[in-house]
Amino acid sequence: MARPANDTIGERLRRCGVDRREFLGFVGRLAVAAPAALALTRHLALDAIAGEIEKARRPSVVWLHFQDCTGCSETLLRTSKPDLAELILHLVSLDYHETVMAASGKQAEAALHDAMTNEAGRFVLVVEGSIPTKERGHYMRLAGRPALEVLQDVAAKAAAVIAIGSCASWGGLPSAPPNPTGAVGVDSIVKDKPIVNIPGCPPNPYTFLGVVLQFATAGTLPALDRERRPLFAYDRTIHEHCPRRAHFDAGRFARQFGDDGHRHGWCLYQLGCKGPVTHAGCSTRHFNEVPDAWPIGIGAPCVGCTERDVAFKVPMFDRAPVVRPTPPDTYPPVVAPTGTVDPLATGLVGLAVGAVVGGTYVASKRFSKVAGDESVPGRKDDPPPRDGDGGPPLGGKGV
Amino acid sequence: MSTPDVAPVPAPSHEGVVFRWQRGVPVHDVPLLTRTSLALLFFVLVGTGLGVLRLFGGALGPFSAMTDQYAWGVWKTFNTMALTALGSGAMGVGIAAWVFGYKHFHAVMRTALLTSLLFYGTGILGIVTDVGRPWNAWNAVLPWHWNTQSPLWEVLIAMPTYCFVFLLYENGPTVVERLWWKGSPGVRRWIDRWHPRIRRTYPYVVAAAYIVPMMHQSSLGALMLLSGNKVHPLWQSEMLPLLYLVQAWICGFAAVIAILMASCLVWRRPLDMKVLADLARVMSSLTLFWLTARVADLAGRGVLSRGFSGDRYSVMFLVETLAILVPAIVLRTERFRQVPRVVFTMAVLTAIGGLLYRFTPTTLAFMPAEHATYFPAVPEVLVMFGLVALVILLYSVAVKRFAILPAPLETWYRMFGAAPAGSFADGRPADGHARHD
Repeated sequence: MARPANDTIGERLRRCGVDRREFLGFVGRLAVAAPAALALTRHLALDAIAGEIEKARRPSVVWLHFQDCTGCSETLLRTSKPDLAELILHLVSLDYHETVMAASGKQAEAALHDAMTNEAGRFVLVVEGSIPTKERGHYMRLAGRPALEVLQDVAAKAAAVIAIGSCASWGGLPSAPPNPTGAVGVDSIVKDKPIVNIPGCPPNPYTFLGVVLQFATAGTLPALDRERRPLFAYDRTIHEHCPRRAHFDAGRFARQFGDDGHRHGWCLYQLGCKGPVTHAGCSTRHFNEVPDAWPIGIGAPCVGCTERDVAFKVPMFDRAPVVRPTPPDTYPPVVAPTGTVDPLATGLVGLAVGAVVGGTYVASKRFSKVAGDESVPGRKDDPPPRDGDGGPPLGGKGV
Repeated sequence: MSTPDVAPVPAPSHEGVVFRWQRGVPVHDVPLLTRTSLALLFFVLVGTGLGVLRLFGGALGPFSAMTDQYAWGVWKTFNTMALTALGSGAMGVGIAAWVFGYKHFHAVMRTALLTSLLFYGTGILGIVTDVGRPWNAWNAVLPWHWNTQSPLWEVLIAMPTYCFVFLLYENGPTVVERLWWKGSPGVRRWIDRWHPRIRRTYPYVVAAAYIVPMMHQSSLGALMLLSGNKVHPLWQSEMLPLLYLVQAWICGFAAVIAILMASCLVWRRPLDMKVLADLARVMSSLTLFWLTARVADLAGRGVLSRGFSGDRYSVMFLVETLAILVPAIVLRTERFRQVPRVVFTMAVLTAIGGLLYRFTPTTLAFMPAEHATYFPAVPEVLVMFGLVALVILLYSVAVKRFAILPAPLETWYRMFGAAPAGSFADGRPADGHARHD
């Protein structure tokens, strides 16, 4: 699948007969649907953003499937702004993808080989699904070779690896106990490449798009958190922006599936919603451009699929700990007064703490270091008194 | 002073061990007011002035940094909730002495009782300063206004009752003893006639004096339990009432040890390492029990790992736990318990750790709303200092006028001679042991 050198997104669009008006419309949809794409540039005007995207060289993308349900590919297929055709034909060069590519057999393997050779060190490897490691990886074979080996070969030549979905991020569903295949995520196997995890079951396709476009235009990867998730999409918990949050704060909970509270759209926390501990953007960016198309929106508690230790690890209907403190049980003030720290007060408290610590130190220096020394503390010149001796006489003059 | 013609009372001993601390003796060779007392008096006056201004000025705003979120400032959280733990020596040491038979602890009992009275008294002053509408406070004593389901009500009723009824009663003998020595023969006769009858009430009143503080010290924990999610999970627990109570005992022991040793240092008294080592041993056992309960509670709730996550809460948790754990382990060793310097340092460290544990959930790990902060304002800090200075000042005055700090009997004889056997002030109850109630 050879392609012309210096094939930028702009040239590609012109060659395919996509006019500028249409392209600007596409950029507009992208900017609205995937605010992440705005991270590409500091420009605010559409044509400026479009100019930035136009100049980018279409990144070559190799997409490998391992132990997965293809749900992550499906979520990409269900996206309409941009739709998959626009995505793979205009924005990226999807050189190998088992589900959507027309080729099969030797032809498909040749495409993979070409991409790895011609684009070595430049292509983005997207991994979907977990990788079996038990029995030397023989639980899954790809073109006759263990999946483990394929991943190691392809990743060795990739510029960056994007692990899409919870399975590729850290094992996901196939790694649920007892984990018969020894399924692990990409970052357990590939150690020397930049890896971005986009967990979710499935993740939001716009997060994926944002990462790929940033890589294409700026050559960089987004800032990541401890689990290597892009901060722009995973920095907040579901709970923080949940549309049902008002019900949580007011103590209105669905207690059973189908009960009155559930029908009224009350908070699903008591049904095991993991929103308070789950970092993801689902509560603000719903799926398939359909309003409320996301678990909590349709009345299903969040299962915490973007958290390594939650989904497939803790029972689905167990209540999650509320990690961040919640507002008071009365109405919070509209303008919350924040306290002030007076420098003088800080100094006074510091002096007091210093006085306690210093005083203790000075006092302790005057106590004897000798075990069983009961003499008058702080006086080194007195002879140690005999047992029963009252120490130096105290000049009493009556009470 | 006319000293009756008497024979010395034999020194008290316990299972053959002669203790150096045998009875309370007033500190007699120093003036009542020193430069240090005057400095303390200055702080007391500043604090009192601000407190009075606040009460009669009516508003909390100019005098404190409290907000609607942080409605409890340091007067409540530090002076009352934290420092009354230091004032739990009367309960902790008292239970060890009267219930578990550590008879040689009676020698330090008067120190424990006095410090408890002072810490509780200033704690209540702290609440009084804090009450938003002091002119309505009298409603609290009207039973038909009581909400008997409320831990805050329990604290409100039990704490002043304990301070002004039980602690005053327990401190009574110290005062009556001075009256016996200083008063006229008529007063002496009156005391000698009445004190056996009063003594008959001791078991009941003293038992109640242990039950009442157990109630309100655990209620203080219950107050924070009721705050729910506002308190960080490392501290928020259904075990809070128990942990608060046991920590009060520990702090009580630590305060008694540290205050006694510091007093011996300041007023040149010999130490009694047998008593101090035993106090330290009991304190360390209690601390290990407390730490076990605390860790089991954290592990049971599945938040133990958050103590090591590296955020600021975990740092506070680690500092506090180390300050409590290190003394508990060091003081397990008999050799270390005999070294005055080690015992003193470890007692102070335990007290600091205990205070941190009691204070943290009320303020440092208390997050009523995102980004809400609280740091006391200057007047708040000065009133807080004033209350602490008041404790030290009254303590230093009391030990110079009353027979509180323990010393050998000989010190007493050298100063005053002995009381006639069988009189109130002979220091010898029926069982032959020195009485230091």
